[in-house]
Amino acid sequence: MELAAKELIVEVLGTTNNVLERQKYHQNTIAIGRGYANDVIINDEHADASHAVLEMDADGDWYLVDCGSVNGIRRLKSRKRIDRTAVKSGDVFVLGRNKLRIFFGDHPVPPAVRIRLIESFLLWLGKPMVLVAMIVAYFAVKLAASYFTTIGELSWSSFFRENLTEALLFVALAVVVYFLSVLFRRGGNFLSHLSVLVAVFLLGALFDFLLRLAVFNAGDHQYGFINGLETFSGYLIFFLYLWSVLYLAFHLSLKRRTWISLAVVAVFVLLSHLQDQIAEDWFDTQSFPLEQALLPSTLLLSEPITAEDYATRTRAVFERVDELRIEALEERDESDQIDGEDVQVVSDPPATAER
Amino acid sequence: MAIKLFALAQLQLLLMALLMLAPSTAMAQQGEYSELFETLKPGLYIIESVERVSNNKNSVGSGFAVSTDGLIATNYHVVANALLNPEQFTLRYKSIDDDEGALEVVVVDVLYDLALVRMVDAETVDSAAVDSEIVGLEIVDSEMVEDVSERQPLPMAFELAEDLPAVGDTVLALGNPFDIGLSIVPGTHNGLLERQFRQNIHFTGALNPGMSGGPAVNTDGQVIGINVAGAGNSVSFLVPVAQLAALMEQIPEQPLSLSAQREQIVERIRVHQDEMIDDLIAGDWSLESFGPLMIPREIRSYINCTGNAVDLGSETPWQQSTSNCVMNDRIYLSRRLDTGPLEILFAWYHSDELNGFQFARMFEQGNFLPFNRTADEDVTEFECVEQWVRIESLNGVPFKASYCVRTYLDYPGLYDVLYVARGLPADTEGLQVHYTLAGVGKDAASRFHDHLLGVLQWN
Repeated sequence: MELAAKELIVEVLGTTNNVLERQKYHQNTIAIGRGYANDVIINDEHADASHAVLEMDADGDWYLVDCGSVNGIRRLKSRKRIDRTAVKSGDVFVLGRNKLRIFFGDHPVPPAVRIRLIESFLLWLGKPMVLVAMIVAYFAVKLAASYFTTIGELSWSSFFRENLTEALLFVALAVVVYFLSVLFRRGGNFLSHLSVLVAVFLLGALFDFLLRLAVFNAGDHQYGFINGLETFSGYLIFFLYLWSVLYLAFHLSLKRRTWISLAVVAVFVLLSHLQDQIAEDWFDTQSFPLEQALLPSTLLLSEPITAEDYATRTRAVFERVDELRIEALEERDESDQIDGEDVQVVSDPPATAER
Repeated sequence: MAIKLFALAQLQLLLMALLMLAPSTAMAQQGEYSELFETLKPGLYIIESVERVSNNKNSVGSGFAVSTDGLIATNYHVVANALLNPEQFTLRYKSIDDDEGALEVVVVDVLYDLALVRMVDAETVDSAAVDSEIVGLEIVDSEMVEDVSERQPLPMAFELAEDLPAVGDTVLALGNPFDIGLSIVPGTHNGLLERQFRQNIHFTGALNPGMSGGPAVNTDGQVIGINVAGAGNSVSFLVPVAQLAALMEQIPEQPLSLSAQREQIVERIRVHQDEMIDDLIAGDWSLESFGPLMIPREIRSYINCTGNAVDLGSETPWQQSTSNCVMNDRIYLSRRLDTGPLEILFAWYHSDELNGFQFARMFEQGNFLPFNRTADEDVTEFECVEQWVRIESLNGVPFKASYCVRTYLDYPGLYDVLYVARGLPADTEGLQVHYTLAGVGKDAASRFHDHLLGVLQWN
C-alpha cells in the first residue's frame, strides 16, 4: 500500500526572508529547478534546469536530493554542499541564490494575535473617507485657531501659506515612513500614516487648548503642575506617534514597539533636560513673571480668592524673596572667592590708611 | 608739573575770553563776585575717586570745607563708588593750592545726596600702597604721625546760611565743571520745587558735571545749598543747606564700617518711603472718571499724571485709554542702582469688532517693567503671586492679579513691588491696574496696596 502523501508546503523567500510565493503539494516527489517541467520553478540563473528533488521514502520521511547541480544545495549559514539530506519541517535551504523554506502540513503555528482596538483604529484611520474627514478637521481647527488668535483681519493668503507648508511637511514625513516600511517588508500603509499624523496634530491642538484653559484659570501655585503637564503631554503625543508608526510601518510586536517608543522618548527627555541645563548655565535669564494667559471671562471656571487671602499670600512673597537674597549672596560670595584669588594683594587696603 | 601750568594758563585764557564776551554791565558784577570767589576759593576742593590699581581718576566732583579741622561736604554720588567699593577705589582731594590728600567718608545721606568726608592726610600711603606693601609701611607710618601732629587748620570753612534767600536773589554756584578747574557760576534762586517730595532748590544757572558737591552761596558767601543736578538749559537743582546742617549733627564718634553705613542707608530710605507712602495715603484721593472706572489721579503735587484716550485709528479694532501717574524722584545708590520712584497706571481697553478670544489675546500682551534702575548684581529675581482675586471695591469683579517682589542684595529690608491686575468685566472689555514701588518696606507696600485698591469705584 502506497503511503498517503504528506502535505508539503514550499515557500520561496526573499532577501529579508520575506515570503515571495508559497505553494502546497500533495505528491511524493517534487521537482525543483529553473526548467518549466518542475513543480517548484525557480526564477534564478544560478539554478539548474533540474536542480533538486524532494522525495518521500517508504517511512514517510522527506529528503532533499541534489540532481548534480552547478551551485548545489546548502543549508542556511553553511557553506557545505549537500547531496542528500533529511528534511524537517521549517528547514531553509539555499539553492543557487534562492532560499526555500519547507513546512509539513502539521507544522504548529503560534496562536492568533488578538486585534487590539487601537490597532484596528489605526487601520480604520487609513480608510480614504476617514483620511478626508481628518484633513477637513485639520484645516477647520487651523482656521479656528487663526481666527481666535489673530487680532484684526485674517488674511487667507497668509493662512494658506503658513498651513500648506505644515501640511506638505506632514505628507513628506508620511512618504519617508512609507519608504522605510517598504524597505522593511511591511509593505507600508501610507494613508493610515498620514491620518495618524493628522490625528496626533488634532490631539495636540486639543491639549494646547486645555492647557491654556488651565493656565487661565490657575494661580501661581498651580503653574508648576501645569507646566509639567504641558511637557508630559508633548512627550505623550510623541510616544503615541512613534508607537503608531512602528505598528504601521514595521513588523514589531506590541511589547517591542512599546519599549522602543519609550526608549526614544526617554532619549528626547534626556536631551531636552541637558539642553535646559546648558541654557540655565549659559544664559542667566530672568524669566519674567507677568505673562498672564487670558481667555474670555466666560471661561473662568475657578473661584477667585478673596482680597484677604491674596494679601496673606503677598506677605509670604516677601519672606520668599528674603530667602532668595540669602541664596544670591552665598552665590556671590563663592564667585568673589574665585575671582579674588589673583588680586588678593591689591584688595587688601593698607592697614595704616584707616587712621 | 608742566602739564598743570599749561592747564592753568589755558584756564586763564578761557576766563579772559569769557570776560571779553561779557557785556560791560555784567563786568561790574563779575568784579563783585571775583572778590567773593577769591575769599571762598581756599575752602573749595576737587574730590576725585581714584582706582587703586591704575591710580586713574574714575570720577571727579567738588566739595567744600565745613569746618577747619578737615571736614568736607560733597554729594553722596561723588563718593559712592569709593564708599561701596573700598577695595577698588579710594578718595582724594585737591585744594586750590594743589594740596592733595586722602579722604574718608564720615557720614552720608542718600536721600538728599549728601556726604561728609574727612581729610586723613594719608595720600602718601595711598599712592605708595600699590607697590610698597609691608616694606614701606613703617616709614609711611612715621610720616603720617608727623603729618597729623603737624596738620594746619584749613585756611577757611564755609558758613552755612540760616535761611534761604528770597526767590529771585542771586546765588553763586561753585565747583569744578568738567574738571577744568574751580569756577563760579552766578544764577538765580527760584525757590523750593513744589512738585517733589524731597524738595530741592530750583536754581537757574548752569550746573555741569563735576560741579556736583560744590556749594551754592548767597552774595554774602554763606552756603544756601549744595549743587546736585542739572537738567540742561540752566535748569539746575540744589540740596537745601538745612539738610547739610542736619547731617552734620549726625557725625558718628567712631568711623562707621561699610555694613553699618549700609544699615543706616536702608533705615533712612525705609523711613522716608514710609513717610512718603503715608503722605500719599493722606493725599487727595478724589476720584476722576476713567472709562467705566473712577480712579485717583494727582494724589499729591509731586505725583505727575499723564493720560490719554489713545485713538489707534480705524486700522486697529480696539480702543484704549490710559492714565499714568509717576513720582520720578529717584534715590541714587550707585551707578547701576537707584530706587524710590513710583508709578500708578490704569488702562481701559474695549472693542466692538473683536470676539472674546481675540480680545483676550490682545489684552494679555504688554509687559510691565520695574521703574527703577538696577543690575542683576544688585537685586534678587522677582518672586510673584498670581491669582484670580475679587476686587471688593469693584463689586467683586475678578482680576488676574500678579504681585511681584524683589529685594536688594546689599540693602535688606527694602523691596521693589510690581503689581499688575487684569480684569475682564465683559468679554471684550478689559481693565488694567498696575503700579510699581521701589525701595519700600513690607508694611508700607501693603498699606499702599490696600489703599489704592480700596478706593476704586465703578463710574
